[in-house]
Amino acid sequence: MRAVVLAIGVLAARAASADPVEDAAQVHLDRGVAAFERGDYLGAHAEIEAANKLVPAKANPYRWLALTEVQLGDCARARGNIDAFLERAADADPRRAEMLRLRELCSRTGTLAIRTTPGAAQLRIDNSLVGLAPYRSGSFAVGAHTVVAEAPGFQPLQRAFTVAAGGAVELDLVLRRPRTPLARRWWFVPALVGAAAVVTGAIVLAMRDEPASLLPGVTCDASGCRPGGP
Amino acid sequence: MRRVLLLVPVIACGDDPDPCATAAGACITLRVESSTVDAIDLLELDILYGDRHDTITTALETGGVVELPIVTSLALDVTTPTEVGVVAAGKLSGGVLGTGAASTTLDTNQRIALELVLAPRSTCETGGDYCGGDELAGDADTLYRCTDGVPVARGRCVHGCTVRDGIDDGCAGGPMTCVTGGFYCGGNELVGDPASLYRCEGGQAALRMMCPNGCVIAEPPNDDFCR
Repeated sequence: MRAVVLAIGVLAARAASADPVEDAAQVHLDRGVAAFERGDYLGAHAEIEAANKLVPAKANPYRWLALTEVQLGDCARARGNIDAFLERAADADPRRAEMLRLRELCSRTGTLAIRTTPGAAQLRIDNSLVGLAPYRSGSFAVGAHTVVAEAPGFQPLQRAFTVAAGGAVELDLVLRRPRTPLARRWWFVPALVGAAAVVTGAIVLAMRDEPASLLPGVTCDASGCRPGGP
Repeated sequence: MRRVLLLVPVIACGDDPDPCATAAGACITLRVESSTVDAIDLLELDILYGDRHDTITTALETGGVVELPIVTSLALDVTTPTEVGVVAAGKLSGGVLGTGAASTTLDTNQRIALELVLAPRSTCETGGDYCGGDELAGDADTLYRCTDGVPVARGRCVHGCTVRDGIDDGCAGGPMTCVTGGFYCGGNELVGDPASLYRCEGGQAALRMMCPNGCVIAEPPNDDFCR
């Protein structure tokens, strides 16, 4: 009897480690899902990608890659993994509906990439500040948009563009400096003298009364905020 | 730990310049001071007005360092009483020295003076979403993203902001529950980021898509959408 129990135990142990590659993939996938659930999407993606490379014929890693890429705002990559999952999953797999919904969500987006010269120009898309160039979104809403690039010492540049469903838009924005250097304008020297007088006066007043320093104001309306006070 | 944010109307600072003196419409005179920051060369303002949000910087036109306190103006085109939230970050040579927040309600042609105190930069985790007062300066009913210690508003929470342990804070969904299969902005019938679009599954946010330009709440039965 003891021999029979031992034999069953050995067989069970062999079955558990029958495919070490699948076991390793499962470990990566479990780590990836755990990272996904605590909101660490970059960490999750790395683990799930490792699982996917080990068992590329399995459907589930493609599903988790797609879920993670949508969280990372990259529908462009997610689409491929959604399709890969759907190709591999059985028709009756209940997760197909989830992936179809995800594909529907991503179908409303396209890819947008913006580079600027000089680099690191401040970008506003549809009057909202989105950060510094270069900018990339793999899930940008379809439709007509406008981008404005601004950099110190350069003239702002505005460009209209349209993102199509599943399409890719790449913009290279080259900002130009003002045509006439400030110092070469006829009014520069008189203005400099005048400004110096005003600044000197302001400093004298400031030292006497110690009021708060004045910074240029800001004006905001329905289209956004811009420099310039009342 | 929540910090108490002081929004103190400025009481007749006789010697301070009034940049709103010549304003034609509604205007806020914003006085920025600090007990920990002496001088800055750039003031970054994150302004939330009504359902609009923008970030802008102001500095001396000649460049250079300016000592605190400083005064600047916010002229706003408002036609009805509008909630205005301001988060300021004082910078010197690109580094953030301090942040502070103030908010008020502004009506047509109204002039308001606000005082904003810069405190040492937040210790919040970059990339995390926080309700104002939870690890970073800001309005308690607004969700902010921590960006290198600077709060950047994600949007105002119509039903209040929910502080959550271990995960990002989020705008509360309110009394209604979302319908499975529908798309909703965070804070509209489900807990989440007001600048993200979610798919509702079983009354909760299931799938999320960031909206770089903000999320628009549509009239039912239409889905919300990214602007």
